[in-house]
Amino acid sequence: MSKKKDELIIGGKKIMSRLIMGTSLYPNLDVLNKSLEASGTEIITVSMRRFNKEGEKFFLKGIKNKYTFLPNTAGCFTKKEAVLTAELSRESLKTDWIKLELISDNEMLLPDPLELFATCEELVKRRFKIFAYCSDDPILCKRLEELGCVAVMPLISPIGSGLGIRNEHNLEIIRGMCKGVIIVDAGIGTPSHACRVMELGFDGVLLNSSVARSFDPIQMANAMSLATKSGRLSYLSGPIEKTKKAVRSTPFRGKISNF
Amino acid sequence: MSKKKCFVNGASFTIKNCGIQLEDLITTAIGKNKNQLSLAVAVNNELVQKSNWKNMVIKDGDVIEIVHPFFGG
Repeated sequence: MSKKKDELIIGGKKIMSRLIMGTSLYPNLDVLNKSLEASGTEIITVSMRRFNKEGEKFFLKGIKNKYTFLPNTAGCFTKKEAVLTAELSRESLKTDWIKLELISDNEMLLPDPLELFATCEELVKRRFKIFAYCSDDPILCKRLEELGCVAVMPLISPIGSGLGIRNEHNLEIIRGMCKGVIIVDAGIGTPSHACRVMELGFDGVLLNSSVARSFDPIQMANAMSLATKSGRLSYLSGPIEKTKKAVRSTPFRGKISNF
Repeated sequence: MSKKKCFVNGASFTIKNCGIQLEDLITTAIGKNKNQLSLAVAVNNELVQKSNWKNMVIKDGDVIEIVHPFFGG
């Protein structure tokens, strides 16, 4: 039997690791680099911020340049801010990839679907390859995919909350409706969350806080890597159907007689 | 007569009456290693590509943002 290659292609680039890692909130650069290494990731997210000495250390001397950078528009509330941030990141990092985040409030950091969609329309025209961070609304996900986003990235719960999957049924609907690349972004707390998402057939997981803020980020990064791979293998292997009653595994036939 | 100034990353920056070339302003604000830092620059909320830094003159009241990659999730 021929084994089909399990390839993930995003925006024309072949990706081997289905775990995308954020680079924020780590205790220091050494732990950050070791955690990225332990995670096996290829794509890491960065922000664009005003020049300062800490940032200079991060980019020039800190982060290893073997990774593919995915700049974000974190903190943007409006289309105008996000478009300029995207343009600045393209100039700075020479990439047309953009993780588009448009938040609607400072407390829950929930994405603003209307502003997001309008910004995606503009950035598609400007030939960006958009990774759209959005709410777990199946129709919105479908519309973003149809618009031309290279990856649609619904949250499973608020950023940094660690609450895990809040609406698994919506995730199932999203996976059923969207045929392109769907990556879960935000809300992962433990490896079991990452594994479950992958079991549902999602193409990847993007996480930051669950590793960076854990007691041992390097070990947690490894755990997340294993969980993501495990969930993917489970999805590809076709789990058994659930039943209400027991299904015997050991054959009854040949058992000594009842007495 | 009041001094002419522009704003670099939110801070006030005094300039000559005739203005200052953007390239020179960036060197003054950041330092000579500016080319190693993957900087990107916006003037009055519009991206100015690096190839145009020498052609642009910053005038009184202009708002300049100089950014670079940073930690992010």
